[in-house]
Amino acid sequence: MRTMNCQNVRREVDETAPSDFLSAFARRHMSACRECRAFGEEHQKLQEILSSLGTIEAPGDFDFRLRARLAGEKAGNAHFPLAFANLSFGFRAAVVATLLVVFGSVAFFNFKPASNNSLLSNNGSPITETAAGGAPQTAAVAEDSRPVVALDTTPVAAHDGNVVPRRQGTRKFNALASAGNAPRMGTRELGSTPARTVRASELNARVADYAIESSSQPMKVSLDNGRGSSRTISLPPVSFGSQRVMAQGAAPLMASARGSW
Amino acid sequence: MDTLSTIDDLTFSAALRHEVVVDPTSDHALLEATRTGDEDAFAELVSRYRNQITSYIYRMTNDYDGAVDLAQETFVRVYRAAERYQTNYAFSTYIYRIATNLAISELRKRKRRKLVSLTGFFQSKDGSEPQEFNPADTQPLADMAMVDFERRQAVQRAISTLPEKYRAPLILRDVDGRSYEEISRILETSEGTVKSRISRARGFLREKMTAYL
Repeated sequence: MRTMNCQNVRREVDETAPSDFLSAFARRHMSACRECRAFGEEHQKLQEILSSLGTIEAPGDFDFRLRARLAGEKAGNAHFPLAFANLSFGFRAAVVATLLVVFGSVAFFNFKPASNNSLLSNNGSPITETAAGGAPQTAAVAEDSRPVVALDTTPVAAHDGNVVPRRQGTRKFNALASAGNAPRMGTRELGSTPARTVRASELNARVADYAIESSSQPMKVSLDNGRGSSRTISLPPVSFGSQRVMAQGAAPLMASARGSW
Repeated sequence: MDTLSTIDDLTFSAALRHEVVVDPTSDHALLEATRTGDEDAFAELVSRYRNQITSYIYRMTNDYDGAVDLAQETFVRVYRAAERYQTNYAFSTYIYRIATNLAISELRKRKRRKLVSLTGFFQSKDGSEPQEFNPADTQPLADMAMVDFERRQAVQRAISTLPEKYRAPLILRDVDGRSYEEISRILETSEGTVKSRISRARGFLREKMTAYL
């Protein structure tokens, strides 16, 4: 019973503000109970110490800094269209996340087909490699059996009968090439691009002027790393369509008899 | 009974109605003026509360520069949310709630960063139960001002070792002298919980401050 009284009295002491008076029961108990009296004295001293801590003053430039901060925020918010900065944090986070997802998806689907234009097709067959500014030396068949003839500089028959390099490619490829940091690409997918048709009526009697620079010799590329280690890659010649590869030293290839190819 | 017994009651009610005029210098009125773009009204609010808020956050974090920054952040948030402010509670309750949330966030950030502080040496690793620390030198000092200074420093150190859930109610009650009801509104807990936490906080402090009691 005594312990119960002590607990009650100490709770009352603990909850009583310094200016408040204790109840008569608590005062009577404390006059008789030395431990509770000691507790009350400690409590009073602790309250005095804590209340003597006082208030710490803000620095003199508090208002100035606050005004500058608010002005800075206002100026910063002016750059946000449609009062974007006034929206809640959750809404802004959702908008930013949505934008990231959209841009990420666009970037992903935009660059995904580019990975198909590697030097090797999916079935591992070599795809055309060309010498700079020269004619195609070799060719390969892509996965869907469409001819991958591709080149930076595909020879095209000009109206005057000369063979001139034709620059043809997608905008993306050109952008990558002009960026300078894109990996060098020696092939280009032209399966969906129809070849230029040269009709006999256009050529008149100059059919024989159209030659295809195709060699029966394999193209050999030697790579040297500058430390004495070299490697030679030999690409065999490939013939397709009505093209007939002639023996070395033979006459230039003639156009097909049908007039178009 | 709601019915009027005499005509005097009616007159008295009307007089009362006239007296219920919003004090233009009250916190609510100043914030209302701030909402309409009155910068001076906001400056008046800042001048009323800057010391209290800075002091409160300093007691919570034991870092003066950080406390000033957080006090500024408190006022920035009040300014930003002036449109959404509702006069359900006293403005002091509102601003202390913002300050408390900022201070507790800062303490949690520090705990995550595991900042090494002098007072941190006296805390347990999980930060829940404070450990004993060396009491101050009990030998008498020559100057009473030094004694007083030393005692305040020791109290501040002891407060900063308290778990945050005990620290805030103790400071609000024993340092700032706020009522249990207001503390429960600021901390958004029941009055019973506030009383219990304050009692436990005092118990911790009594153990730490035996040299000064």
